[in-house]
Amino acid sequence: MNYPIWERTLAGGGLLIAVIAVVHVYVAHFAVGGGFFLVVTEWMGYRNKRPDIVAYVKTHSLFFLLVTMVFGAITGVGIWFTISLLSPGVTSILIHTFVFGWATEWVFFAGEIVALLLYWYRFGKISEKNHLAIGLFYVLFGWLSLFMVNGIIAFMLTPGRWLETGNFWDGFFNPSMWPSLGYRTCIALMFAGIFGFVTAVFIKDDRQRKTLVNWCVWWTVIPFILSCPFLFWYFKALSPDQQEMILRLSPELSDAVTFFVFTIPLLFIGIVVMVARSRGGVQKTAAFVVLLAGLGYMGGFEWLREGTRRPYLIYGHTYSNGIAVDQETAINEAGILKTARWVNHREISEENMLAAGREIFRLLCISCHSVGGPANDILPLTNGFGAFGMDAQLSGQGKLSGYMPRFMGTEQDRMALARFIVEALHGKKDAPPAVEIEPRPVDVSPIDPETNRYVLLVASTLGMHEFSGAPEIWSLRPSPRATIRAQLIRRDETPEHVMDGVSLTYTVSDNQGTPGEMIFSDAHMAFSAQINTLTPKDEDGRFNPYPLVTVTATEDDRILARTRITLPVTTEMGCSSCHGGNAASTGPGMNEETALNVLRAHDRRSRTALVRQVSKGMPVTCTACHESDAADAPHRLNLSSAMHGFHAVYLSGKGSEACGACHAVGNTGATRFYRGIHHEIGLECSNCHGTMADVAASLLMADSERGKPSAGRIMKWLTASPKTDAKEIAGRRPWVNLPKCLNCHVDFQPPDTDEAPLNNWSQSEAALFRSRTDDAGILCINCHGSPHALYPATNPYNLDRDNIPAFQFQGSPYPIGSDGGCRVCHTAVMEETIHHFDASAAFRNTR
Amino acid sequence: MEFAFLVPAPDPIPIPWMWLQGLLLATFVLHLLFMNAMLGTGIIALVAMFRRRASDLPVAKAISTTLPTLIAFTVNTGVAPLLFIHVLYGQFIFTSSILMAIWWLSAVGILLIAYYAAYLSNNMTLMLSPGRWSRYLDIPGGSLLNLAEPMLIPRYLHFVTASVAVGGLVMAWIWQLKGRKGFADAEEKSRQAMGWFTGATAVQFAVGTIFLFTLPRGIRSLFLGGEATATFLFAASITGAIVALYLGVRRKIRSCTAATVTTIILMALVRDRVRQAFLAPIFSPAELPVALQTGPFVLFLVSLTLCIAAVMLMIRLAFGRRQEIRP
Repeated sequence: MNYPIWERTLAGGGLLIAVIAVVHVYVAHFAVGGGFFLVVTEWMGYRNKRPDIVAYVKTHSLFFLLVTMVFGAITGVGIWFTISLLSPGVTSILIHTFVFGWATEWVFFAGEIVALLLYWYRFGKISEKNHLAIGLFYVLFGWLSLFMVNGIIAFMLTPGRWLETGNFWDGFFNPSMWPSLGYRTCIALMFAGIFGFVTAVFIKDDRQRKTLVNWCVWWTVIPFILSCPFLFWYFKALSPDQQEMILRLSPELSDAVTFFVFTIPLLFIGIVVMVARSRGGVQKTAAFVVLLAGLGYMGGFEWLREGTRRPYLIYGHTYSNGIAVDQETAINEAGILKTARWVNHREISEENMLAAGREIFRLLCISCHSVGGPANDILPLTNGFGAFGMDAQLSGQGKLSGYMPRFMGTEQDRMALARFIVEALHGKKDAPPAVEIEPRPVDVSPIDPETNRYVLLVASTLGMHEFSGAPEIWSLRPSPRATIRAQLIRRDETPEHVMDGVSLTYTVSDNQGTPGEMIFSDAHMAFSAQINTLTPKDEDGRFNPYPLVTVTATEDDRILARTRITLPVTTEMGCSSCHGGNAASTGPGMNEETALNVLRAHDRRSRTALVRQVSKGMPVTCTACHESDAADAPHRLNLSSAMHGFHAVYLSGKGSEACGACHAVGNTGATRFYRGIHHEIGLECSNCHGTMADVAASLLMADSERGKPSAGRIMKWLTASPKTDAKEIAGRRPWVNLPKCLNCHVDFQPPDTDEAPLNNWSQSEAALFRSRTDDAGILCINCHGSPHALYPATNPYNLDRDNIPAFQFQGSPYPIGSDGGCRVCHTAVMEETIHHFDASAAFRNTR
Repeated sequence: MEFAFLVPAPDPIPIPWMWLQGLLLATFVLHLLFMNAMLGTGIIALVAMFRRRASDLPVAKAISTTLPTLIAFTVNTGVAPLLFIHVLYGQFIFTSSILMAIWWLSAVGILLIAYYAAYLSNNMTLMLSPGRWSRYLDIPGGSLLNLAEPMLIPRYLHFVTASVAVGGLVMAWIWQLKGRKGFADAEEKSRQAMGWFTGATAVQFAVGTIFLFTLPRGIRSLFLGGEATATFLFAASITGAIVALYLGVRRKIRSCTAATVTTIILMALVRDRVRQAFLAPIFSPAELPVALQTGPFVLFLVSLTLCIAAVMLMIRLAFGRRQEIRP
């Protein structure tokens, strides 16, 4: 923020520092341990009267001089140059806080150089005792250099009390300083042995080579064993959050852990081969394998250490992208472009959106991500996103995993960055155009009420139903199912609700398969059927999320009444807005790639093996694990809670747009499920359900009350909605506790408010709109239509496709019996209504 | 764009700035000496190589054995002043380094010494010119260079010429020491080496004059009577150079070396005045916030003292009269 950012593309991210640091760190540890190795080996040569070993030490010390003093020194300065360029703010803090720590280290390094030069140039020219003494000075200075640098490196991981005091000593003698020093000392000795191999295997004399290779084995193995308790102590010195990041094997760290752990066997196999095959090329190759394994071990360790420090450079003080923690609030309030110094665009407009986004990318992303380069390339990571999805990703980033810093800036900043990534880096055009829907005519002609004797009211319990377009990969539930409920009324002055002696059958899409039988259910006082074969298709194969079901009531093969309703079903889930994949060839919704990407994300975050399961031919069913009360997995969230909870972290603050990101309720898609009268008069999802954060928080609260810890982890981030206060939200069970109509329509009256109060849910499944009846036993849905498709619904495929029964028996698309329409069922005019208060009142929102 | 806004806010320093300034100058002079010796002898060796004269071979050989040591010390002594300049002028040098990041970073990798010196000059001038920093907004990729700076080339030549002079002086020392060991025509070689010193120093007067006149008028006038300290330092360093040249012609190696080191110290002070004068309109290190912590400074002083003692002890162990092993 303070400093300009060096804009890199291919060489962006940690590449530069990783390359130079790992090499330097390897050589620097070798320089420290190698001192011990040289002096002890030389001493052993003198004591055992083995001039050949002393001669070896002399040769090795030249190799040592060239590698450590020249290469080590230059790469050391190189690290400094590099971090100054990549993270100037943090480097400045390190320089200013520890200026005399560095200066002291510099003094020790100067002493180290003098000692090493004297050691090499005077080898064999002065007494053994004096030469060994100079060697010991080298050892001392080398280790003191490590002592100084180690304190500052450890400081970045665990700054301890320095965060409050700003005191040099608090920072230097920080919690992980001593274990780190012990560990690094052991590693230094181990590397001395490893580098010893490299020169030892080239010795021609068999006896000498054997002696020295065996000698180096001890130097490698013993320090390795000694290092283990220090590593454990090191781990214990970390903060609980840091320990958890390692233990939880956060996806970003698991590679580092793997790398760290798997180089160890390679190291030992190489050593065994070297000892066992004491001749020729095999031994030499093994020595270099061991050298590389050592480099890998070091690289893995440093990677893990740096990873554990995420999302900070100085833990708790400065984020990975160089922004100080105490700047975060100001940046979020004022906007990042108004807070940073080195930017051109202080205001964002449609014209400069991409240029401003580029500056934000530079400020927030480039310190860790390359563009097309080998290190942490941003392109594959953001490939699947459109601008909306990218914006959502940025919004939730760093919250659940905590590996990356959270996005800092205003919503406008965030969108500019999202659009820069999607439109400038990926060259995508935003927002696909609205789908053009071909109308599907349907016959809604009324039946003459004078001759009609029976009224057949039918509705689907669900007004919208989504299922996976790639069921061979995953499905939310075992199979798409829909329930329809029908009530047959014989018209009369006092109509009869016919419950037996008749047969009700249904056929899907007019004439698909044999008719199904509907069974009378006492609980609902209706004939009911569960339909298991659902496809959003017409008979001719065209996509149609509103197939028709024909229900026929017969008595002794005589047709009493017949009607049709839609059976809403779609594959149009919005997964691909964020999870990539192209549009499915089979119809709207996700294709196989999207479906697999979803599983990959799940595997990565939750360490599952779902992709492997699918590759073995076993499709995944979400509810198989995420059922609300699965006894064997009490820590798992129920499906609704997991889906809404996890995604709300990314979609908070977006209003009803957030719902349409996944559900097929948008006005531009191929389904447009939200089509009832409430849609028509401009109410949005959140008017009844609350915002995405409200929906998620209430579900999570219930899971949290059941003792599922992950619910709390997610809830922590759901503060975007002004209505949501984690303490006040009431727990809610999915599919049971849902918005009540009477929340707004108090006493069946026109509402005073269009914002439903939260925490006031239906108490049981039986109390849901789709299950309830009026005082006369008629189901709510049979007079009002299915939820989300309330009469008069506006179906996108044909205006009145959802209103057929209303038209058929009443001649209008309005709720059955409204506008004084008692005569739908009653053959006489009724004085008062027993259905519910004002049931026959004039319908207000007429077409 | 108002460039003063671009200058980042500095971090506090642990002890008053004068101490850091003193350390900066002291270590910088040390670095200059090693750097000059390394670069100068390197250039002389390069010339010897191209001339391919048999008589030059021992020169090249002598240099090639000392060069690695000189490089090691040049790098080591370069670290300290770079550290202190970052403490005092961090908000300038971090920034200018980033603006020309690619070049600055290649200075590490590119082993060609000329390149190293060349780009170093460039950054040290860019850090003094915040007025040119706003070019970053068009060129954020770290490929800026301060090529429009008029003092860039004279300044670079000034350092290179000084290096050749010091290189000659170092060679003269080497041959004189060899002469004591009875090396044939060491006397002649030493004379030739002093020729490099006097020749380069004579040229330096011309280069230095050009350098002086490429400074902005306001800053130049400080050294020509405009400000007492600056004028005194400048006059003293010119005098030192004249004395060194005179002693060089007379081939008084020892006193010539003393005069040269004195001149370098004075020139380093002059250089520092130039830097402060450039930044004066927007910054002076005296303005840096101080968060006093003397403990670490004591740590440094103690370790420095102990290290010097240890080095002296090691030198005694390595070269003491009775330490040589008789073959």
